[in-house]
Amino acid sequence: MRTQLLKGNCHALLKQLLILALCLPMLLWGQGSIAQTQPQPPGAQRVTVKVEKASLDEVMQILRRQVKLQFIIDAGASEIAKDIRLNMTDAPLSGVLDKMLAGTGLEYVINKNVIIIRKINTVKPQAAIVKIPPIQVTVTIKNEDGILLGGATVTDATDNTKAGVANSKGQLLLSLQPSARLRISFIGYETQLVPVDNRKQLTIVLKPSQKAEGEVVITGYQNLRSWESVGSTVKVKGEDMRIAGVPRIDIALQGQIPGVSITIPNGTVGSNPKVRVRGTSTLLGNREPIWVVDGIIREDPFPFKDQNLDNIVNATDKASMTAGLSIMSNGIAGLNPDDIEDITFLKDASATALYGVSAANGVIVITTKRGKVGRTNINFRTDQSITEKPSYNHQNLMNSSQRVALSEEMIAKGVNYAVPGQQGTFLVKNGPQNIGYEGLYYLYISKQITQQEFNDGVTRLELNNTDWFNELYRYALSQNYTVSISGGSDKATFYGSIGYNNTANSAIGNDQKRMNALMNMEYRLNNRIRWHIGVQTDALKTNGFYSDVNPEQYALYTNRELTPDQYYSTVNSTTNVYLANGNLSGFVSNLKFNFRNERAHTSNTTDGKQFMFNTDLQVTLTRDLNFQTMYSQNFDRSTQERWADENSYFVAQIRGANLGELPKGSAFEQASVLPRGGVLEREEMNRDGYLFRNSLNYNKTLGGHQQHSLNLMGGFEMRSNTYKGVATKNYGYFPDRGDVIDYDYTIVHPYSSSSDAFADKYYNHRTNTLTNFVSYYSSLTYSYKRKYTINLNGRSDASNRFGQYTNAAFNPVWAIGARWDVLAEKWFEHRLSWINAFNIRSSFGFQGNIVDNVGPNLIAQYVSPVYNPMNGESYLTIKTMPYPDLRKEKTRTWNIGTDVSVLNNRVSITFDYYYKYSKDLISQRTVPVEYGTAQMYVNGSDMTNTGYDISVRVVPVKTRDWMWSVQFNTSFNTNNVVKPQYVTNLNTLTNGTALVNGYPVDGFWSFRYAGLNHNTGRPMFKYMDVDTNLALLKNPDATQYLSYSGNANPRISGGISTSLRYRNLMLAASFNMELKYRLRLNPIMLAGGYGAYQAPAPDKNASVFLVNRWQRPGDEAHTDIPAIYAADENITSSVFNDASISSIASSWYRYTMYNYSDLRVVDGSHLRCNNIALTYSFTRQQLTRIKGLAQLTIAANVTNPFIIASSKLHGQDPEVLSTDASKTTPTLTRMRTVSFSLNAGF
Amino acid sequence: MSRNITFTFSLAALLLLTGCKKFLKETSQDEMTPTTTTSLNELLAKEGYPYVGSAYYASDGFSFCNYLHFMDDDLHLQNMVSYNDVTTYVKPFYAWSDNAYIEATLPPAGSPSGVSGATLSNPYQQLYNRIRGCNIVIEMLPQVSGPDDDKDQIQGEALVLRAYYYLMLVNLYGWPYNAPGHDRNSSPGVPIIVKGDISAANVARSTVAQVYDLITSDIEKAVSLLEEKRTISTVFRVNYRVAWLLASRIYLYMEQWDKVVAYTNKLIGDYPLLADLNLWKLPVPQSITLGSNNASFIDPSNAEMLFLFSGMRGGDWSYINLSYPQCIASTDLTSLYETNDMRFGTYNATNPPPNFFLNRQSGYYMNSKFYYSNGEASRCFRMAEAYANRAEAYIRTAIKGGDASLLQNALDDLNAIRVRRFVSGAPNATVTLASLNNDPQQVLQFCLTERRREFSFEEFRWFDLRRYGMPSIQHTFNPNEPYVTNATLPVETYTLPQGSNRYVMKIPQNALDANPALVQNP
Repeated sequence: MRTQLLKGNCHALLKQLLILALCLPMLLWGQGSIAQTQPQPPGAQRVTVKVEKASLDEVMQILRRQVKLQFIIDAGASEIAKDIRLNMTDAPLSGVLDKMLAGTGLEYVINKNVIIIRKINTVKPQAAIVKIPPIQVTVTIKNEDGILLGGATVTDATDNTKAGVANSKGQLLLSLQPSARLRISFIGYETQLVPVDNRKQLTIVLKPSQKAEGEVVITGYQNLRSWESVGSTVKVKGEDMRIAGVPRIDIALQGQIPGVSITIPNGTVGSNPKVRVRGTSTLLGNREPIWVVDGIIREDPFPFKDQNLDNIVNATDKASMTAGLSIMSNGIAGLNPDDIEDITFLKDASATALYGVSAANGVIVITTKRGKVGRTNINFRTDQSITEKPSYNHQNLMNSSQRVALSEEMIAKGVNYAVPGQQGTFLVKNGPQNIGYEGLYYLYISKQITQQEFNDGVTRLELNNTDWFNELYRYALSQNYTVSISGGSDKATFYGSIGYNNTANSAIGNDQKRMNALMNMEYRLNNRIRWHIGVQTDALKTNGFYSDVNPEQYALYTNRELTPDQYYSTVNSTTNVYLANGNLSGFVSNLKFNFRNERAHTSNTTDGKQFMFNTDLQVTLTRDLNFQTMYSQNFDRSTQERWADENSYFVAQIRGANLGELPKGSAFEQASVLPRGGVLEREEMNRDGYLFRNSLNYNKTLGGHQQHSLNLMGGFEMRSNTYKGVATKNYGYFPDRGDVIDYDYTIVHPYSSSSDAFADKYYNHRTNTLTNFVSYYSSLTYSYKRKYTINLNGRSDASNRFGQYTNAAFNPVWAIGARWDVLAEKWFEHRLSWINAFNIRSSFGFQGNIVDNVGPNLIAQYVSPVYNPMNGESYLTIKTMPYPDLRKEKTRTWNIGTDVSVLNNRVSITFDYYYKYSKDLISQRTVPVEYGTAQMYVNGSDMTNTGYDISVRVVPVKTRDWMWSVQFNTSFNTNNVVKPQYVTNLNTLTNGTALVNGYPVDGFWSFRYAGLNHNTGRPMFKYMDVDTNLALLKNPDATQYLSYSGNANPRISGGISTSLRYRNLMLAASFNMELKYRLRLNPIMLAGGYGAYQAPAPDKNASVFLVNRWQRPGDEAHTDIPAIYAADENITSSVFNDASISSIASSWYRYTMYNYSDLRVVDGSHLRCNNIALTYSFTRQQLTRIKGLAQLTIAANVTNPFIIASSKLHGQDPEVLSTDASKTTPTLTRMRTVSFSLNAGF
Repeated sequence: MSRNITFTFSLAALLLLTGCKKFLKETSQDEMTPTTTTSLNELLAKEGYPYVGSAYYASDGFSFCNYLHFMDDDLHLQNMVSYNDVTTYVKPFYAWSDNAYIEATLPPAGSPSGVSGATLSNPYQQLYNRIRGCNIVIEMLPQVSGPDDDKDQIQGEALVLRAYYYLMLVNLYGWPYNAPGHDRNSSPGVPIIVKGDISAANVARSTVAQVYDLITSDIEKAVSLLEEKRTISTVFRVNYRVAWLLASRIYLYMEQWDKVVAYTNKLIGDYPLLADLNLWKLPVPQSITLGSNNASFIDPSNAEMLFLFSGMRGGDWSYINLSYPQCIASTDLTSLYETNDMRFGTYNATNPPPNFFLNRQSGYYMNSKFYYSNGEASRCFRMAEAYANRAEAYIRTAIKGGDASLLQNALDDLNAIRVRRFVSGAPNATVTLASLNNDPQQVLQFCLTERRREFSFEEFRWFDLRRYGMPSIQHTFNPNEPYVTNATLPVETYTLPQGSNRYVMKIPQNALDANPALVQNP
């Protein structure tokens, strides 16, 4: 059935293309017949004109149809030549023009293929009489940086004749009248008018054009002129986004782009930021935008399966990902920010429609630098950075004497924690042993040490005061070097660069090295064919941490009484064997831990190499028709390797004993799952992709006044991406014994303390996925007088993705938009001359989103290993149940925006308002257990996203010496879930994943804190202890008794950047702000098992807030910190209707409720200063001494200098979103980095 | 020139489009939509069959109800302080607590952090999950390609399994079929789901009679599908013999004795095999880390096995667990074994006869029908049950006024089992009617005792107690024995009154939460 449909579609498309192919030659033939007249001199071409009372424009129109020449009519000429009467058949063009213009006061000039009709300059004849001899003038053209601008065009403004083009040294020699005026123009620079004034040497410095940014919108498929762009787009220059000390472009973009919210949840070098363009509009699908570099989508080096993280990520890496320590890179991590020319953000449906279904989350288009015609420039840039290390300041943690005092007090009050052998047998098994004050106290009361020894020991502990941040962190040095070379002639241009970057985190053990090279070459074979070849390659190596090796967590939560070299034990492990008489014999080992040892004997590295080759050929078929073909081949090879060797605690846990403790050759050693060697997990992924794209672009301007302009584009694209890889896990890894793997899997260890399951010891999974796309896209733009523009974009994709609707039908995505350039209206222009630009844009688009992994058919999956050795069966398992009623998710987007620029472009404002209605979002809902599965997928929910993006650029001061500019952008987004098919429970409500009608997707709820109990100091809650209403607490709808805490993601995000220049000195700063959201405070100390609140374990540090805890009745009046008891009160599910909040789904504690209470919710709004930079550019005069040096800039830069946030956060980073208060794992903080940069041009 | 380019482009487009179908052919390395009987067969093996071979499928290793024996009278719980967590898991069931399941999965009240509750199987959820697999396979069968014989076989297997799962469900969560005072036509059983679709609709509990109607119609249909071709593949697959045996068990529970006899006759006529323990060779353990090399009774090498299933991992404390000799055989049970009975003995590696059913470890008798070893099955359907079921049906028929000669037939069946369980030539291996005073009641008692001896810890006893009129039973727990010597805590005694509500399990909370139409058992 499906293949039938597919065939039908292919055929329909085939037919369409055939028709197109048939029409093409006809179209071309029609044009070609005119082109035959071209070899004759322009004036001699023969034309036929028969008109009565025609206007000049009409005659020109007739002439245009017959000769392939360009006619330019000088302003006012049309008014002079009216009522033209001509009757000439097959006459030479010059004759026709002569006759037509005779006596009108007009003349014509033929310059190659251009005929200019203008008023006769009355002065000119006089000048001709004087006959001043021309002089030889040498003109040198450069920019403000002193770079010679080869290729600049010089026109003689006195008679509008083209004088010439500067050579590669930016020079040209002209023969001119001494009184001539020259007009010098070059793309990207402001055109200048310079009088010759009898000078023989002219040096002209061009200023960069202010309007250049808005001029061309690069969508990756088209380069649209500003008046053709109807969608919501933002374009920035790569150079402006460059922050010294930040090696990645995605992180550097934070706070810079209206409507694009970038969250950097942790400071780990090599981890990816979270990018959201205008909120989220899917519940289960991928929410990241796509990155496009030079027209090619950058795929991630590892396949993405958002919904089913378990499929690709093993438990270890998942743990490090949740701890924010992931170092899996994304597609653009390897791109050198210095190679980026500009970045365009496509935000609304109209702008993204050409990317089809994959673009539902926005598109970010990066263009790399290309060479420019002119002399060869060599540029060198280096950044040297130093990153601070964190300290205990503002961490509110106890020092060792405070900690000893807490332990003393606890023991004195009988709230002792787990003194071995005293508090029940399980504590022997699980409790920390002989650590800190508690350990010493135990030795003392068990009479193993004297009173004197005890006192000395306590004094020693108090003095230890280990600075864990000092032990585990460093002042980290990072380097960045880029050398680039660019230049070119009329025929060919090139840009090439190589870069090296080494970024180190202040946490010892986390760093990243990157090497990259880029080459862009462009040839103009003739004036019809342009050929571009680009090559990009990079190698990226990142070192991160193994699971449970989290320096931040360790430094924050470890008792400072411990010394850095101390090996200590918090758990013991028993290895059992059975003797011949059937009796049990157990070997008990206290497993020893030391952080530095653990870090040294574990490893987590990612190694990626990426190569991309792309080429495109642009052929001008006729004046109006352009053909472009593009091919790209790109591949990555990534390896992720995680291991722990036999010296590590991680392996000791599996082994069941410390290294060397199990007697060699003993039964105990045989009973251990991993007696020798460590654990190695390795994942290798090869990604291979190619893209082939062909498009035809038809551009035609029609009408007597050239008022109708039409742009038609259609294309076809094939894209293929293959991931092939293998993930393996092995026991018995010996990294220090020749990198050998040696383990006997045939031995069974039935009584081992660790799992003996085969899958826990060994796996070897292959990945082999192939994704193919065939897409057709087209765009139609019509513009009237460049004032009114309408645009229609559409795209259809088909793919080979399995079990989807994808190939049942091509998936159409379309958008329509309109634009009105108000300023172009004559009535407007004359009245308000202080307005430089004013337009209004509006668009509507329709997108269908496909959620991977859910489809209408039952999808079965092969089970690995291939067969069960027990019964010899090969298995198929149900991957997804059939959901025949499931539909595609649909999103409709409306956008209306305006761009206003006033006061000589001193103030420019862009405003966009959007409304997105997403319908039929797929979500999971709970179903009765009897159906054999816990959840099903339904198209139940709708969601709206409303918001606006504003960006304002103001240049308050602009003089010769001073320039001050401020850029401000903000975006407001609010979303609401409509009628979700979702059953909430306590867990989803409190952790912010519940969907509740009328509330935002990221809303979360809290228990109502009602003070501390007068008698016990335990936290009380509304309805439970105060205003008791136990029936209400049994209500299955928990929103009835919880309080709504707000949304967990910022509603308003934005940034400010400002720069102040005085002559050559520039001071710039950028800020990121995130406003209107709430988050939970981190717990005041780590919870005990499943969230219990009790005396902190001897190896753990505690918050200084505990000093102010409830200690005696009456304290509740001035403290909200509960009293500590040996055991927390267990609130079983008997109080509430469900126990889902508990990690074991059955029991939980008052402390859990306390952490999830409204008391612990604070406003997360903050303003973070991303960087402050001071730059000095040397003047050309200063540089003349150094031969060859054309430009030199030095800069000092500070990133993350400060953050302004609520004092209630007590130093907690508000950007690390945590609504799950009980399982908070601290992530590496983003530390302040100071960088020095040097940029030299030769 | 431009024409050439256009031509090239058109040609290229044409060529590419012809490749379109192939380029867009659905591909996936590891996914597929089952379209053949072979695929459905593999799907049934994973999604419809009980789990087996836990070494490779670690998370699937539980038996359906690993706490069933905590409640019957074959098990005795003793204290062992250093492993008091086991006591925590077992005791709520052992004491027939109203909320046993919840209590067992909770850490004990007031316990400090780090103590977890038990990981228990949730039979309600697991059985319905397996039923889903059977339903999907049955529903998809008509749409896939393959020989009709294969389709019949797959459908037959799926129906046998579904009948078994519903039999387990209705006996865990409903009153017995013939329970006095509980009319099967009104007493709630379990919800009936026989379709593969999922929906959010709530389903109410059908009556016990309705569930039995489904079970009998499934098994009858399965028998008719399977007994024609009589295909036997492996011991890990159900087949016509398993269908007959299960049918006899179902009718035994329903007390339709003639049907029990009919199906067991078919089975014993077809496959009269019973394993003789005298001929059974147990390999001597090779290493002092016991377990891995011992052959056990429930094993694929035992020809008496008709169907093996359920891997063994944690939580099933009734089997011989060397680390935790807490769940031991009750003296009630051990006292039933006679001399020369090889099912019961002292472990002796070098001097056979070994013991097969109850093994002595560290001074206590524990279930040793299977050993802890990752990869083995712990549950089975085996031939002895056919003899036991037929014997009981004969006796019950005779008591009801049937042919008295059936009593001798019954003894023949029981003796057939016994001679293969006793040391060969043992005089007490066979029993005669005379030794039972020709009293039908005594014969019945002997039959039920033999059944208890033979099927200890094979998930029979609890269901048998329910059939026998839900008698009152008693459990004792001495906190002082055997490892706590200095304590003098009172001995705890628990009584399950006759016909107690606790003969019916409570429906798990997660099922009640997700389906408001369910009514909890009293």
